[in-house]
Amino acid sequence: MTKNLLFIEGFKLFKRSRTWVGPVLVFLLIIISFPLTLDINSDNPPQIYLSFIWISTLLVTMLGTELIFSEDFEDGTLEQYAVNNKLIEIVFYKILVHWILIGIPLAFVAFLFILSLNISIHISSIALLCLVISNLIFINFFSLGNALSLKKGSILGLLITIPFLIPVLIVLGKITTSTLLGLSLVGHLSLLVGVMTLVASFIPFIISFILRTHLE
Amino acid sequence: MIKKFFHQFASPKSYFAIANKFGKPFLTFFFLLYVGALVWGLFFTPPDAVQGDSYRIIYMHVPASFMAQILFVVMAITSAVFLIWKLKLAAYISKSIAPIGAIVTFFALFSGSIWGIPTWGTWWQWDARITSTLILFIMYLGLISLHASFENKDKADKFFSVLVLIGVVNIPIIKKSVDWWSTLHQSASITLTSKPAIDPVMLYPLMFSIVTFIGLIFGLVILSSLNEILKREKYKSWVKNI
Amino acid sequence: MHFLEAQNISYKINDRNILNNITFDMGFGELIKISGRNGSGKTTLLKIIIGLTKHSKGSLIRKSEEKICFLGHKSGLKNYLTVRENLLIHGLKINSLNLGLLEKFNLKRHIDNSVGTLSFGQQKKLSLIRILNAKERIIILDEPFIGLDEESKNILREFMDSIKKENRTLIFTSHIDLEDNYREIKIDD
Repeated sequence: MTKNLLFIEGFKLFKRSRTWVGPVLVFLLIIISFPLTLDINSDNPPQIYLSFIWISTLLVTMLGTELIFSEDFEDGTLEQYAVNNKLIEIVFYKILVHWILIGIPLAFVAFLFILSLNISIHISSIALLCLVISNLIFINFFSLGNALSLKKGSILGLLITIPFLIPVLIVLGKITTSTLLGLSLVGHLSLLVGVMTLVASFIPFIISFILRTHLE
Repeated sequence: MIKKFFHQFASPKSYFAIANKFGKPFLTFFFLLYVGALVWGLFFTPPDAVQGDSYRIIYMHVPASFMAQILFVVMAITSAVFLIWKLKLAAYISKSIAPIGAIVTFFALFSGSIWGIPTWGTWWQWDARITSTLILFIMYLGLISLHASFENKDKADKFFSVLVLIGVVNIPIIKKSVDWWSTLHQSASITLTSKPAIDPVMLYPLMFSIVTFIGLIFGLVILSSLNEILKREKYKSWVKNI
Repeated sequence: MHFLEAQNISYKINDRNILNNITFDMGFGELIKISGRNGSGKTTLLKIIIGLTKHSKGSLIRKSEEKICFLGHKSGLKNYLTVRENLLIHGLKINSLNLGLLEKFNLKRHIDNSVGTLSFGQQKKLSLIRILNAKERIIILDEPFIGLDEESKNILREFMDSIKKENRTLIFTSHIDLEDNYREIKIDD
């Protein structure tokens, strides 16, 4: 039954194709447009591109998780999960499924883009790893924001949870500079992984509490 | 048994009775003392060797920054009390702290800006302290609008409390991480935590202004909480009898 | 044998009383109707019985931990999935029983259409199929008769009778008068 629920959530997201295809396409469009705003002749440090990709991923992930719980709340599916005491499982599965269908593809698209800028494959793979990890963190917090304000289109919840992502962005920035300078990344990466583990373990419980309060 | 006693003792009604009586006098007392502290600091202390007279803004800026952070911690404590023991009074107090926290934080940012102009030649700097204070300000605003956006105020209290608790963990993290970030771009910032460097002549009025400001702000919190209680309990009989 | 005992249940929102001192028991093999005017708190009482909402005052004792099958105001159907997919998502098999039910409800020809294209009444009937398949001992329905045509109402009534015979319990709300063999819990304003 447990594996069944995961599959059901995956199926639901998969069928709602615009939710997971959309962000990847938007991301593609944004990163294609970006170099156009820069001077093609000047030597732009890779740092700018990487920093831009971190921010774009942040915003596009926000787009992708906009309705993660709202939709199920509106049509009564969330209520059903609550009655059957499956809320906490569903929160985990939904986040997992969004990460697999949105977060990881996004990371791959970014990876290809970075490679296309003739940045070394070493740096590009590090960027890929970082994006895969930080996307899970982003998705967790944006889901928290969505859970706080379940009504469609309300950005209040998102607005509130973005400050929590600032430390993550700073870590990503540090990783960028360290990689480009050839310094050791072990410390920064393990910090990122640590944050991801903490966040992915605790935030779903908070989300479950918030959803249950909404359903009262 | 103890829970029942607790609930009876810490009921909005009994708190209101006490706070209503002592709130205004308390506030007036500390307000006057704070004004006294300012007068002391503004007129009865020598000018600074480096900054001249412009340093005097610290008598307003430091208490404000300090209170901005302390208020958030207090809000976190009352929120935790609310979530653990389901004490409604705690939620009322939490919610009434937020607007005051926002104003104090804004004042801290504003006075900091004014201080920056003669001292560093700039009204803003992206260092750890200022950035995390700005984010603190945004958090206060976010909390206020979150609570306001819910019809059902009991639910609003729960969401508010959860967010405060996550926020209280996040604010120090932001501060540390921006600090870590800015070590690549070291900029001169005067830190008042290096106490030995400050002359006792200026330290005493500073401490006095901090202490009186704390009293002043708590007076405001008490008044604000009274207001909140009246708003939220307006259908209760004891409120109708006032 | 009671599975639920409620005494002096009250519920408040924003300090306004929605439910006031409601006392009742519930046992197996019962059909219970919760009646009252619009806005009297029927849905709230249901949610308290299920456990989604916590009562403000009073006591609610559950004698046994039973699984509940619930159908509320919202359909619990995904608009962008087909009828077939919605059934599968709720753990129902496309077997002869369910195909027969779809046939009875006139939905069989829509089986591969998305639920978003169905009318309100048709969606109601589809949600009902999940209830008719329920294995749980306690079934709770919020305003189940609204939107149903006469045929479907009869199917639901027959189902309610069979529930009683199987020593299961069905609790429902309605503000319409029905001639049936149920016990009534009235909520006054």
